[in-house]
Amino acid sequence: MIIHSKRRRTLLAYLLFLPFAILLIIFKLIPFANSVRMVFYKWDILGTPQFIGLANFRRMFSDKVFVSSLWHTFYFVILTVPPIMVLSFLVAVLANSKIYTQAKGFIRSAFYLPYTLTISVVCLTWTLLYNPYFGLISKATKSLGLKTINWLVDPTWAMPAVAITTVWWTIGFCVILYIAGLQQIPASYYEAAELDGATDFKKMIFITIPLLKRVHVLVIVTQIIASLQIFGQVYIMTAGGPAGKTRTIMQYIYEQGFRYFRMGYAQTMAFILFLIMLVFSYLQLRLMTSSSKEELI
Amino acid sequence: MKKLLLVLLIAALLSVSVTAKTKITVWTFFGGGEGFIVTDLIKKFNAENPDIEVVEQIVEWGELYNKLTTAVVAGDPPDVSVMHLALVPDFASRGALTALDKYASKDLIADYVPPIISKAYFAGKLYAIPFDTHPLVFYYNKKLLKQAGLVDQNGQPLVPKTWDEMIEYAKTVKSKLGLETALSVELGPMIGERLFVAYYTQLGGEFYDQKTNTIKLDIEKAKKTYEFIKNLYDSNITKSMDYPTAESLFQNDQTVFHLNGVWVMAVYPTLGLEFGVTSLPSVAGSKPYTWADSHTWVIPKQAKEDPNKIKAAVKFIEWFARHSADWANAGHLPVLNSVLKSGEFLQLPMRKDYADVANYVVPAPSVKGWLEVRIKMWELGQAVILGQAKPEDAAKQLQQVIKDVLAD
Repeated sequence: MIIHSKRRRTLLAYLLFLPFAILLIIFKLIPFANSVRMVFYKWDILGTPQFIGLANFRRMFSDKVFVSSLWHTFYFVILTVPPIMVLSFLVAVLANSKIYTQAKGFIRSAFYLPYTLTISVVCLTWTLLYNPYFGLISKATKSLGLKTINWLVDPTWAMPAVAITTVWWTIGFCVILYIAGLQQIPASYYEAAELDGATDFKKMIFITIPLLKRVHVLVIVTQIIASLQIFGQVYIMTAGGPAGKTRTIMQYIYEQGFRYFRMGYAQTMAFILFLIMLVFSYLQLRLMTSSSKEELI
Repeated sequence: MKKLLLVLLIAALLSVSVTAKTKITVWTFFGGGEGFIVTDLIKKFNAENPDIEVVEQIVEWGELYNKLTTAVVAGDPPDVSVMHLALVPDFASRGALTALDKYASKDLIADYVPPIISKAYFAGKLYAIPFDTHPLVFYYNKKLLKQAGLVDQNGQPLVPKTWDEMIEYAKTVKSKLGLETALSVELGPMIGERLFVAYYTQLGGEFYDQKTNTIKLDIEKAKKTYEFIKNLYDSNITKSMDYPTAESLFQNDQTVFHLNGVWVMAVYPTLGLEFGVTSLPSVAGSKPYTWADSHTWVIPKQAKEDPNKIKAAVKFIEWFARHSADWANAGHLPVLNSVLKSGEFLQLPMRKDYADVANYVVPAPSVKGWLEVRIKMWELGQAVILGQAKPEDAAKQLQQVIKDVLAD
């Protein structure tokens, strides 16, 4: 009887899981398996795929544009992840501090607002700000007597300009994560530290920062994964220019797959990007589980 | 009961007469002024042809070709789609388009200007019905030329006929009027592809290799073209800028010369700007050849071909081509000789000044893979101007891309 009901319960569980599983299989797993298979094919979308073995990989490793696009992507990660982390942490501390109770709501909404905008609105707005002839930024630098930078057309400045826009756009999400983390730290820890005569600086170094470890990991890993997939910003603001200096790997995959009809080759590069992101996701899983174990102790 | 049956019968008959109308879906990417003109023309066609109903579906400009590709694969494409002439080979060669030889009217095909209709063929078959050409042309600000004293005996502004004259005049206007830049042009497709194609052709260069039916490049002429382009920036008459900036500088009397497509003619004459438009300056001794692309209608390959639908679709696109004088309001040049000479077209503002350009257009070679070559051109143009590549290296790189594309 007991066995019977247990079996029934298991059956029920599978039944409840089934609708999700079917959708997962049809819309995620089968396309994924197919896309991995295409790595070994030459396929122009409209015709029949041709098996070509490892030719796509050979092509990829000798493709200078692939290498430079991958490098531009990593460069973008380096330019965005540390500032997003540091700034969102500082803003969260500010928004959570006792002194600014009145301003709390304002700070939170002010930093979260950009995150609610669509990518095209953000990019077009910043493209106008960066315009060397009529833009606000060049007007400001001119009045300060500084040299005007043609941000989006300058090989050196184009990528930092895109990075600044991205930081401004996405910081709000991380601020919210940090605020949630800050609110989870028990006030008693700070009170105990105060009794021991700890300064604000010491409280920050020894209580706040270490206890936010889980949030740090979450922010770093999610932002790295998000930044690795950068596409929209460069596509709208620079189109990968000037002279291909801001072409990222996602953009190159798009160009090869949809513009030049090389779906197999695009899949091969997408597969490499997938592997890179898999490594970071695995790191996140490891770090998150180890930090939750520490908390239990 | 009998009554009910009768009502049902009548209802059934009515619905049959409604569905007897052939419905044609059309994908376009036109917005703004161009969008209104297309929508109006479709309305007019539907009113004149009660047996056909054309339904327009507007697709995002940058997304249309991706969507069309996937729709063809899925077996559910629109009955008609707009397509740039330069892309016809890429789609036709992959079997994504319906050949139109059986359906197209002979008299219409005979009416086209030759350089355009020849590119609507791929491997000997007709795949597209072009309805305009939009070349790169030369705009000049009359007020600024007069202010700088560049006028003839009659007080009319001097219009440069050669590139050397253009640079000389630009320098004069810039120094006399203290302008920040004398020539406004987008650093991207406009310089890298359009001006490149124009100047290279004026030098006598060709992209289409008739012997092998492939793309070729005269490396010496390509190098000279890059040197010419670099010199425009080195001589300080222009600076690197994006497309909206290039337009805005010219619209606000902040630059005397401007390179752009004819599509801006839908707007510029309405701005109260004192300007002129004409063919590009040329290399001394050459004709003013210029880059051009065309909008065409194509019939994507359906999973199941329905000859009646194709006939209705062809009726619509041929009708549209014959009514291209209306479409010319958007600035584009008609490509049918009868429309080019029609009063309806010539009475549009300033069209006389550049209608002649249709004779010197250089459309993309009808070769698969041209898209990849032209996008590389945008990049190389920027690289030369920003000092990332020497003219000679850029020419070599372009040749390499052509080789790679052909080998693929």
